[in-house]
Amino acid sequence: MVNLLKGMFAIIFDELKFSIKRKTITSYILFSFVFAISLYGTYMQEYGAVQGEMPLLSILPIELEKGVAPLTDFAIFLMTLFGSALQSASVGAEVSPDVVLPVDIGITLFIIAPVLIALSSLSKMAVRLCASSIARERESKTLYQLLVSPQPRVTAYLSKFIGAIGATIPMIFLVLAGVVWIIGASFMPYIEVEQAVQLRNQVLVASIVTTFLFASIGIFISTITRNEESAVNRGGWILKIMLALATLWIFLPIFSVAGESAASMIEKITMISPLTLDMVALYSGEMFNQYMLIQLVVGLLFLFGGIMIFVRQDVEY
Amino acid sequence: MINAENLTKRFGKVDALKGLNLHVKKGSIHGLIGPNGAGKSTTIKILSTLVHANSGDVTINDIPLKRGISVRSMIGVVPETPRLHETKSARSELMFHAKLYGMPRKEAKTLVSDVIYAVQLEDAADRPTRGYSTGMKKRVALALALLHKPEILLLDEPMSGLDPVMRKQFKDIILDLKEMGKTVLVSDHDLHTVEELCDSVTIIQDGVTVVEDTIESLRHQTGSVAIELKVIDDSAMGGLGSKLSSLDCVTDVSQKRGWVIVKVRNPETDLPVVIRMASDHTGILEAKQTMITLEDIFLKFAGGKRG
Repeated sequence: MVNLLKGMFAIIFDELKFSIKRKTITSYILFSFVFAISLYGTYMQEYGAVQGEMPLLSILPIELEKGVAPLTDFAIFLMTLFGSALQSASVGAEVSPDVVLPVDIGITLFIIAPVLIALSSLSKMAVRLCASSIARERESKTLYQLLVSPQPRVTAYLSKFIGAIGATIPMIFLVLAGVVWIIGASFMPYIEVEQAVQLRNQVLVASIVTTFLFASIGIFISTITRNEESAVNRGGWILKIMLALATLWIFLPIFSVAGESAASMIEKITMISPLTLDMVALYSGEMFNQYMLIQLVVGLLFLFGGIMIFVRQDVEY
Repeated sequence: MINAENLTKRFGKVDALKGLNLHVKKGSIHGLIGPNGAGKSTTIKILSTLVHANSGDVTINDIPLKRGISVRSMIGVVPETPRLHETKSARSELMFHAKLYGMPRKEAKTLVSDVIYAVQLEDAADRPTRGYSTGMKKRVALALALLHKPEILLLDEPMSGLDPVMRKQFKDIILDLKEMGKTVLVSDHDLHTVEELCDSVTIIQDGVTVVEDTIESLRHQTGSVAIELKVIDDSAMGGLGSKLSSLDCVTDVSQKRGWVIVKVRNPETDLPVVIRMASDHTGILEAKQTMITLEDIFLKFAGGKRG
């Protein structure tokens, strides 16, 4: 048992070392740069406890309901701002040249920009590293070394998975640091401590769960693909589609012009993407646990599905 | 030590093994020979637990192959074309391997140095393996196979791609392993190598065991010595062949480019009898004696196909 654990740690450490060496440092730097810019953009806005009504909403052809979709919220806010400016002008009052965002709009923007960037970057790294892990060794025909050792195939598989996913840990810490900073620096005066803690925890949980899910998908692809490049490309394509669906969800209110049934169908399609589930869960706050559980279960299914295939596979040398 | 009964393996529509039997005795060097595609590598991969057999029973040291961990602790495998992690050195590759077996770091370091010395790789051990020749890679693979001191070694074409000097070194290492009481299963195309190394062989063809025995016993069945006779009158060759075949001591008679080839079991007693009968029958122009090789045995049993 001790020997098995020692062997397992050896594989984890070996895979982690390889994953970090492999252009991952460049990815960390690039991610830090993009994440920092998007966070700074959120930080630069001025927030206030503005909760105005919407005087001009009645002239719009569609009915906008607050708290349904980020884009509608933003549209409502812009309309409110425009309406307030008109009202102020008509009464001759002083209108501030600065745009003060209500804090809930600030949080919404934070979720659909920096958090989406963070989640997609984490998912990209997880899927890429895990997709490479087994396919790389199979392609170079070095997998036999691992599999003729006394390590069970399940252990070898899980160790490779843990090693590859381990390389995303610095990025998760970076996301956490960014979240803590933006909440403290921009939102804290206007939201309760409990709400701040909840937001921080939810972003952290979403980051971990989504990374796990994409890592599981990545290693599953790695198990069924013969060469590394194909495995990484397949993983990349899955992520691109999921990201496109999440983006589509953000712009969902636009589709309501085409009719309610069309919009509802598009919404259902966008919910296939775990990134959409993250957005919905973080934005509405409701269903967070359920959506995370769904992702966790799907991730486990991919992971165990991959194990089942791997233990039955024939390996060449 | 190794017992495989009715082993079958199918790759898609191709039957690689169709009920293969293999028995290797403890402490012996056993050769697995057969033509290309006979199923030699597949058999070794199954014994290494890399490939799963469709049916059949395999035990190694009385432990069923299904109990992978126990079996893999006992075996060392040298593949036909060993692939290594190119950025790692042989030493770090071996250190990683030692960790997989849960060896303590200090013990692993000593064992790695010992095994590097044993395969004569001291000068290159700390260089990345990407610059290694085929022979050096084979040495690393052998070192990897020996590191955990396995009881059984499975060597898939260990001599392929090696120069004569290295072949000699490899042969010596394998013979040393036998001295140490290890059991070695070797598959090789080079029948001379197998003959020099092995105590017993299994000849396989089309995924089936054709024959399995000690080389000595196979020689006894085939004949250990051949006498080649050139006769004055070529037309007498047919009659001579039939006459010699009737002798009890003769195991086989054939004709090849004007020569009658007669195989006998016991050269000391049988050769005079053969020559006397031949000279009584017709005039003998020339006679020469050759040893029956494993190649002859292989050709007899494998029907002329070469690996």
